[in-house]
Formats: sequence, C-alpha cells, structure tokens
Amino acid sequence: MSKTNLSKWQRGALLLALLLSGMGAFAADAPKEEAKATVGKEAPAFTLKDAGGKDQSLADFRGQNVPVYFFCGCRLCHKCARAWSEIQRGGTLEDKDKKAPPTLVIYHGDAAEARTFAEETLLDSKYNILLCDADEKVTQVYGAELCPRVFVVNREGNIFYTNNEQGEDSYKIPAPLIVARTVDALRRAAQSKTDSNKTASEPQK
Amino acid sequence: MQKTKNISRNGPRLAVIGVLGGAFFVSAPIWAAPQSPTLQLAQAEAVVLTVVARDGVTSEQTSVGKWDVGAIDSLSMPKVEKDFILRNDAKAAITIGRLQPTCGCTSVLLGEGTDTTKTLAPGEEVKVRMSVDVSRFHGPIHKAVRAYAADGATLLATMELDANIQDPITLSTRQVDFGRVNFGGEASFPLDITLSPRLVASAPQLVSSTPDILITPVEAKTKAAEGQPAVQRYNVALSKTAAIGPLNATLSLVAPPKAGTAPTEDEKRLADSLQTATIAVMGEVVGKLSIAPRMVVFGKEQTTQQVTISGVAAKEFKKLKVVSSSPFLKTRWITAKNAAPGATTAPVLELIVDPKAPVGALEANITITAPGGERLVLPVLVDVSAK
Repeated sequence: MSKTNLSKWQRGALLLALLLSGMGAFAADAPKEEAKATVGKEAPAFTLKDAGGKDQSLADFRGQNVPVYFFCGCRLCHKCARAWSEIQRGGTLEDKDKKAPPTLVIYHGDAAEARTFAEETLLDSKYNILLCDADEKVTQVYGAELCPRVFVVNREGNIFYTNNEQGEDSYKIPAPLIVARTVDALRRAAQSKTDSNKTASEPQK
Repeated sequence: MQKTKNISRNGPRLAVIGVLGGAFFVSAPIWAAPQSPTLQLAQAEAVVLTVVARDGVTSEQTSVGKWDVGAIDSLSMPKVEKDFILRNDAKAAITIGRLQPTCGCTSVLLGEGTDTTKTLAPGEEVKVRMSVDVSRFHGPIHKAVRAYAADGATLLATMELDANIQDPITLSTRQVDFGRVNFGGEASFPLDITLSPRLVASAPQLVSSTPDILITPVEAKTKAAEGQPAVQRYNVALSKTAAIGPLNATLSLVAPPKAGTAPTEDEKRLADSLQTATIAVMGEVVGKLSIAPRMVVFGKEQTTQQVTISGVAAKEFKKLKVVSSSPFLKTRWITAKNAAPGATTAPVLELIVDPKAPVGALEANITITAPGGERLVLPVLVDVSAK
C-alpha cells in the first residue's frame, strides 16, 4: 500500500466517522425537518386513539379510498369541517350501494376537544372517525401543521391527493374549494381502480 | 489500476474502521463523558438563532422561545399578538429564508413587515410578530412559528405561544338536530345562551343563516342582577315552508347595528367575540319529491352532472319549476335516451356549468317547486379552475 493511498484510506475512514458522528449529533440535538407525505408515496402509518379511546390504525382502512383531514379547531378548520359535513350528509360521497367512505379526522387535541369540534361543525360519527393527535406527532409526520390539510389515501395505502402541495398557504384557499377538490380526488381514485379493473379484465389482443 | 487494487484490498478493513468509529461517535452522546471533540464540533456548528428570553418569553433551549399568555377570553383578546426577538449569536451571518406558522389562524411579520427574508449579522437582532386569531378556540391552545434558513429546510428557531381560551358565552347546546321532518311539519327546540356580564349590555340577538329556521326570544321571568351573567332563552323552530333536503343552518349572535355610525374598535372586538358562539342546525325535510344525490359537487374538469328526481310522474315532471340561483349554472331536462348509462326512467335533470363562470368556488342552489307547492333545494358546489 502506497503512502498516498494509505492517507486516502485514513481520510476516508475519518470522513465516514465524522459523517456518522454528525448523524449522531443531528439525531440528538440538531433541528430536524420531517419528510412530508407526498402524492404517490406510501401514506405514513399511524395508530391513534379515537374519541372513544379505541386504537385506530390507518392500515385498518386498506382497500378503501379514505380522506384524512387534519384540523386544529381554528376558524378556518371550522369552515372546512362544516363544508365537509354538508357534503357527507348531502350523499355526494355515496356509491351505488349508498355507502360512503369513512373520513379520518385527525384533531390537534384531546377527545373532549375533538368531540366539541365535531359537534360544532356537524361532523357525524356515521361518516367520521375522530382521532386525537394532542401532541401533533402524526400531524408533523404528515407535514400537516398549517391547517386545514387533507390527504386522500387510496386503496393501496398511497397518497393519491393532498392540498399540501398547493403551496404552503392552505388558508388562502376557501373551504368550499378544499372540500370540492377532495371530492374530486375521491372520485378519481375510485375511477382509477375501476379503469385498472377494466383494463385487467379486458382480453389481450 | 493500482488505485483499484488498493481499494479492493482495503475495502473490508475500511468498512470495519468506519462502522466501529461511527458507532463510537453515534453512541457517544448517550454514554461518553466528556463528549468527543468531533461531536462537540458538530454541535457547535449547528446553525440556530437565539430566541431572546425577554418580555415574558421563556427559553429552555436557545432556539426555542415560549410565551404563555395564560387564561384569556376572546372578548377581551380575540387576537393574541406577541413580539419575539431573534438574535444571531453565531460568528457568521445567518439568513432567515421563511417564517412558517403551524396554523392557518396564525399570521407572522418579520421585522417591520416589509421583508420576507432577513440576513442577520453576528450579534444582530430582528423582531418577529406572531398574531393568533383565537376566536373559535375553546380551552388550551398551543401555536408556533418556525424560522427556516434560506434553504427552506434548516430550522433556525421556534417561537411558541400558549393560551387558555375561556368562553364569554355559554350555550345549552352547540348543535340542534331536527331529525327527519315531513314537508310542512313542525319541530322546535329550546335554547339557552348565557352571556358574561360584559356582554349583557350589548344586547346581542340570535339570528339564523336561513329563513327556514325561525327564532323567537322567550321573555325571561326574572332579570339578571347587574354584574351577573344573564341567560337569554329562545325557541328555535323549523318553518313550515322549509325546503325539502338536508338542513344546513347556522345560528349566531350579532350585536344590533348602530345606524349611521361606523363601528368602534370595541364594537368590532365584540362582533369578533360573538362569532365564537354559533349553533349548527341539522336535519332533513322530506316530502313526495326527492332528489339523488342531495348535493352536487363539480370537480375541476367537470362541466355537466345529472341528478334524478323522484316522486313525480314521468308525464308531470315538466310542470316542475326549476330555478338556479346563479347565472353560471344552467339546467335542462334530458330524456332517458340522452341520459347517462345507468340513469333510471325517472326524470333526469342535467346541470351545466357555464364556461364563462368566474374562477374560484361557485356556490349555488337549484330550487325545484312542484305544482302543489312542495319546494326542493339542491345545493351545488363548483370548483371553477382557470382555463
């Protein structure tokens, strides 16, 4: 081994050690920006207590196109939740069998606060599952702090749509548009499955 | 070639050295004392700004400052504002690339509000004003603004605001559910609203967002003593002419307007505060006429949708009077021949969005009235996108 090469190896080892030690320091102390949940990627898994104290996992809803809303209880969240509840009760989301997909409502608060919010905004337990994210850990994983945020998770468990990619200013979009775009995304998600079934069932020519 | 050989020969050795060295340094923060020089260097180089602990701001970590406003009512403070001071205690200049609130209710101003980015020289300070609209919150809230570097991802500082919001108004219920009521039928609910002493003098009145809900004040038998909370009692009833369809109404308190004068700051604050007290009204009026779906939402790419009317004979449906509340939403009856696949033989009404509709959210109602007087309202929401 030449002197020059030995030096390179030493430098390489030191660099690697520095890199790893830097990672250790980063994990321990330095500010960390969580990766946001983006369209096309697998929706980050989570398990949260619902307003009744029961554990609910995103994985339990595999096989359905599910809207996931993040609300903090502010004025904008109230408007958006109220608009969504009107759509639910208007039967807009129902399929031919009169079944609507459940909506996961992730609330930045405890069960009592989530129930008050649902009561004020008419979010019906028939259509919505209230999940409590008081420490906002799931909210941070989804990068959904700037409310109101919505994600449509498709049957495969991937993020099909989110208003988190329309720029950071979700509060500049009126609540009716946020919910209209969610309905549209749910329809497209349902259609994409139908189309793929059709394609799969078509005889190969 | 020589280089390649050396890499190949020394690769496993290097991997062992690297992994062992890395493992040592990674675990160092957990058990090593004192910390290795390398780790200390890495920590010292972390780029952060100091949130100055001043004017009630506490800071347990250099780059995190917290202000706890304590218990407040949204009447006296519908918007909470706090100025945080960020200081660059590093030896090099640091640029704030963006400020990110964690809630749509929070707004933020950097410096005097004219800049969106700011480069701080060593020792330099900048003010960050955080404003939180607390008017719809109840109980404890926690809001934050994060300052990021010019790369948009490196977190420089976090400013947190805690408050405990007390309601100046207490409602006996936040939700009135009439359930399913036949067209022309009657239903009513009692409602009590307790006002804090500061609100009593302003004599707010309960109003409905729709004429389908009637509100009647009930005379109090005894008047509240001065300085004590007062209870206002109301009877909330469904109008006999309420339209068929889902009920979506909001009851809210408003201060009576003063004719001819612009509202004072106190009056504006009162109006904001009253918005915290809303009662949501739900239920459904049912009749012979029915429609499916009961609400229509158009996506960006959609220009037409169809709804099916039931409860009217096929020969009679053209006697129905159909009125759109928007000039950009038109309707036409279509025959089974033209109807979409799967449509029934029941009358099908097609809704058409005018391509000239202005970009944004178009909210409209289609009102269908039968010769017998039954009235059905179909809410329509359109996402009109730019062409």
